[in-house]
Amino acid sequence: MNILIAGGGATAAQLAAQLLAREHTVTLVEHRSDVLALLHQELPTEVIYEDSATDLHVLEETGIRKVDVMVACTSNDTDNLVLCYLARTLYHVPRTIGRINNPRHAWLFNEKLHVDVALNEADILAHLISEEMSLGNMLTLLKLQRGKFSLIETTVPPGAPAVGRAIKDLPLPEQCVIAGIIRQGQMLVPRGITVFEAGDEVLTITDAPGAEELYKLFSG
Amino acid sequence: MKIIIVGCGRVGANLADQLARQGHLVIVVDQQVAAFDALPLDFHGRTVVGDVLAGNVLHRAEIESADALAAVTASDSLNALVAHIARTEYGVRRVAARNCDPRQRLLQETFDIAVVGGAAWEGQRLEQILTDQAAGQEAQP
Repeated sequence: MNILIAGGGATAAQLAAQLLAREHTVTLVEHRSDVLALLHQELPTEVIYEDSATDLHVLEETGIRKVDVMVACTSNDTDNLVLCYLARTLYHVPRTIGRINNPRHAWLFNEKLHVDVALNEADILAHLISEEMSLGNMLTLLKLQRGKFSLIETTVPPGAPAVGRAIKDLPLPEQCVIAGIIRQGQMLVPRGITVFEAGDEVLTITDAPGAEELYKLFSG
Repeated sequence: MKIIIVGCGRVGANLADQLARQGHLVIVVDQQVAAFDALPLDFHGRTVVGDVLAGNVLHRAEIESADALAAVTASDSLNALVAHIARTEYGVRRVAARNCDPRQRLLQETFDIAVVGGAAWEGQRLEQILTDQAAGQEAQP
């Protein structure tokens, strides 16, 4: 894919490095000289375009007309909104991603201003932290749907309410499915009649309220 | 008319005062309380302190019932964005954005709003006075 990243802060630089490692074509636009000095230590020179992204001539020169994704990742929410809007209305970029620096601006990052995906860093981080605090023995392996759902791994301790009961008899939360059970190193495909044993590692896909209910079933 | 002015610098304060004197209901929005010092002491309008893109600030400025909005901050992209939001999100009929940097004008016009800025015109006019003999004489006191 051909990806244009506006902004060269830590998040943008990390993203560019990851995308390059996966052999995508990346152009990163940044104009602050102090930030550029750091960027040149991390990224190949040909990836970095030194100028202000909120300038139509600059956008044209970075090849915005040919990119598949525009990532508006500057530290200024106004610029990120303007960039997503321009990318779609002027240059017909198929996918736009906007970074939200200040959560109070989140209400604007939507389809009306042509932001396809809004990334609210403060929100994502706050969610991760509160999950880490509340759900002790549950490990989040993967975030799905922008963090709405998670793939969670839990080890069932002796004495947990789920021990000795079949899946079909457990009051499982609605937005939750048991995806697999690892017992003594073997993967069991869960069926309704599968009975939990202490020491089972249970893989579950669930939303956040579901995770809390699961925690009650799978803790000692 | 109920008119919202976003940005209380020299341009914003002056515009707000003029409109208020004409009898309009004027609401001035700025991030900095100190910015309202630019308004005259006898200013009749209202002031709202806050970040204009934060969820409730335009609401506090009563944008739902506003007839017009002028975005006259020092940031061209913010001006264009605020004017665009006022029109598309809140249906404000008359909106205008100030242009400071002539290079940003095209970008602002993409938002399909009226853009007003004197820098390009002033530059041209000064150039005329400095280089054109006839205009130069005319400009002398």
